[in-house]
Amino acid sequence: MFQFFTQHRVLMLVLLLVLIGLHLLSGGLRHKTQLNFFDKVILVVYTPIYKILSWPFAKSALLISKYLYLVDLKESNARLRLQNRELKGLITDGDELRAENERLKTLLQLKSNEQQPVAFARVIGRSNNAEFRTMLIDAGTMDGVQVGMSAVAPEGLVGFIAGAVPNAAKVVLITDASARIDAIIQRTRTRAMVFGRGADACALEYLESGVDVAEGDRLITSGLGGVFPKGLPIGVIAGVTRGDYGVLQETDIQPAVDLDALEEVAVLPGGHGMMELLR
Amino acid sequence: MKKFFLFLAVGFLLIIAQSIWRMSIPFGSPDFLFILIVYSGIYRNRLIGPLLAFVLGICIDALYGLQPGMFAVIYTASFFLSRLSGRRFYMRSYPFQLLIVVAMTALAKLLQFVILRTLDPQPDLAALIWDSTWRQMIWNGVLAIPIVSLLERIDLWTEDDYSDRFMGRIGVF
Repeated sequence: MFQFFTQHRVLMLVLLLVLIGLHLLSGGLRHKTQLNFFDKVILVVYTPIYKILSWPFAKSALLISKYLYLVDLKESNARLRLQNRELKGLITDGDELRAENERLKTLLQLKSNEQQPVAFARVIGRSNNAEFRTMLIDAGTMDGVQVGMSAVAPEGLVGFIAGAVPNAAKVVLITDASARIDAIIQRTRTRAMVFGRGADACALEYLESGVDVAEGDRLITSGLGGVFPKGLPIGVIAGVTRGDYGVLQETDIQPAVDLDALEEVAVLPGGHGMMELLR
Repeated sequence: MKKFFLFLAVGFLLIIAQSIWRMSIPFGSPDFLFILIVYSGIYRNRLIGPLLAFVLGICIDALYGLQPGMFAVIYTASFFLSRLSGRRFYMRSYPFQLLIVVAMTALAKLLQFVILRTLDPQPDLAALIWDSTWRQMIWNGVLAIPIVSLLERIDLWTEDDYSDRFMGRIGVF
């Protein structure tokens, strides 16, 4: 017996490690967004080393992008001037609407849902697996980032904080297969559930075929359950599929944020509902 | 044990390298770490191989995974499969290094599919995994030869006695 173990010691070691891994895996499925001690140590050590080693690459990329920016500067300037004129008009309209909104809210004694970011952070890593859509940011508990907070970009919702250490945090993106977001179709004010589909897409699922939804409709967070702040853009309906006999329709959503090109995020407070979900 | 920590450090640097790659190049990304695991399975038939695969898998789980233990299992199993293949085929030829890395990438993804399908089934899982697999198979295949060469150099550079290494490879020890 002992001879068998010594002869096949590599196989025995592999089996033992696979069993330990499977044990971790089965335990992790119940608490899949909580960091254990080793996870925290690895994240704390990894972040500063990554920042130092990636510095030259980040600088070179910046130089290249600056050069590329100069190539079509003239055309870009003309386009931006035109856009600027249009936006000035929109700002004036927006100011009027905001003032009116504030007055009406005061009259109705409603709380403002505007939230100030807890921290701004740089993206320092992305998962290279399509099955897990996560990324690392360089702000952590020292900057006030806590598990359950929302990560956003100027264009809309990015994801939520699934784990945080003093100098970094792990963000689960809205496209991750485990992401569920309570949303509102902006045009019709219909509530719907957005599911992450992995890769770079989300979808509205379990939507009855009678619900009015069309390509180009915008989706925003509903704010229900206290998971994400209300009114954050999630994405735009990119396609609607209705089954021949089915009572449900499926929609593809193009996220508002280009998650692959994202370089910085802001972290918003709230997320008490997410904390409850994670417990 | 010295080798274990050296390759652990190399693995850690490879994780950083693949993160930088992922941040800079949008057309899919290679798994440098996986190439290291296959290399260690083929060239290093010692007890440090599975430990290395397990610890580096845990690192990937901590940094990017959402299910602790998944990459630890996949990398450890991939090490063992590489070790089995390494005994049966002539691994010194470049085309074979490329082929074995591509084949192992496909097997590792299949294993990942089976684990996810069993423990946490999701709709469209097969399509999702395949979508990332074919790109990663190409990248891993293309980069297998330079990375294996680099790892061989590191291995040779740190070997106390060169003859021991070559004798080990031809099966004397």
